[in-house]
Amino acid sequence: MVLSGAIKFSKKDTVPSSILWPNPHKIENFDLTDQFNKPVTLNNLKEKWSIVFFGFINCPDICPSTLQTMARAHKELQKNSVYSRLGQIIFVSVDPERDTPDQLRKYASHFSPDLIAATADIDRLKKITKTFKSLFMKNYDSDGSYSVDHSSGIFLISPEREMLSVLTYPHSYSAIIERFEKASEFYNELSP
Amino acid sequence: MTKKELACLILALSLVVVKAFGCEDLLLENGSIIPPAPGSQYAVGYFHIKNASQKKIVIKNFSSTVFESISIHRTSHSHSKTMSEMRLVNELSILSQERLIAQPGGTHLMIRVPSDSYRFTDQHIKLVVSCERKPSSEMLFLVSHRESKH
Repeated sequence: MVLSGAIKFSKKDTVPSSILWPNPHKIENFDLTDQFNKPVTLNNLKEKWSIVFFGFINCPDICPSTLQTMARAHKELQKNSVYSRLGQIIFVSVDPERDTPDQLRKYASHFSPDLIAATADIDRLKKITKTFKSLFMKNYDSDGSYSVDHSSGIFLISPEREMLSVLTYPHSYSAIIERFEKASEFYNELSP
Repeated sequence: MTKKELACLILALSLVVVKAFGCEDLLLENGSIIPPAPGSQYAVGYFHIKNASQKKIVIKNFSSTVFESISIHRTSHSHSKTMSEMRLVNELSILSQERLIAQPGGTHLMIRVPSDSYRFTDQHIKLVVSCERKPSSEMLFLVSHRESKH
């Protein structure tokens, strides 16, 4: 898919800002390791439609429900000719202390065989959350256990590695599908 | 009324008062436990509980012989709903005749299972709920699966 940046920006003015960000920013490079101990970098987003969520395995409430919703959307979107070729779902763990690649492998396979689950040390996680304009913060409870505050949004990244949209909680798979379809239709109009 | 009858009446009334503060007047209308995904040691519990009494009831904790620990947590959303925070909650108050709804994205039970390979074999699991004052009460939670929201 080859897109013209000049045309793209003129077209984007016609897209409601509630759906797509009017001035999407380019994701900068990052460096993670996935559940198979393979690197995940900015290159993995190139020429792909990516649906990305940050969380951690021991988050029992919104993380599994969001990943299940993303997996459902990913499955339903296989009917879409663009997504079936270019779509991917990515989970970034912000709890590298507990979420080893081995744990991530077990966890990710529960939701979808296609789910890419990756993490990194704190410094590298700070780098990716910064470029996603997101945050994470470890928080200790009074009983000594900890959780990690994190973004609850689902990020939609274009094949040009631009952050197009963020879906806020609560999530539904139909909203993810709708957001992707609107974004991809818009981009398809620009394809040669 | 004889002295003996009066004493019995006072005793009966005092028991009623104690009962009103305990968990016995809590009605579990919909309780579910969702097992953890593989690799995770935390199941989650959701419920609707009604306080059928004429007094406020304060839930202090949930416990079970099956699980390592159960704590009450609340997820909240900040920064225009883009950040989520999960915090330990020390107690839950339910006003007279009110309902407490613990649901995804809000109040929930964080349930630590014995190991990340733990298997749920029963369809129902009994939890003991303890309140500010005794007696505690048993509630039967259904083991269920997470549903995708449309």
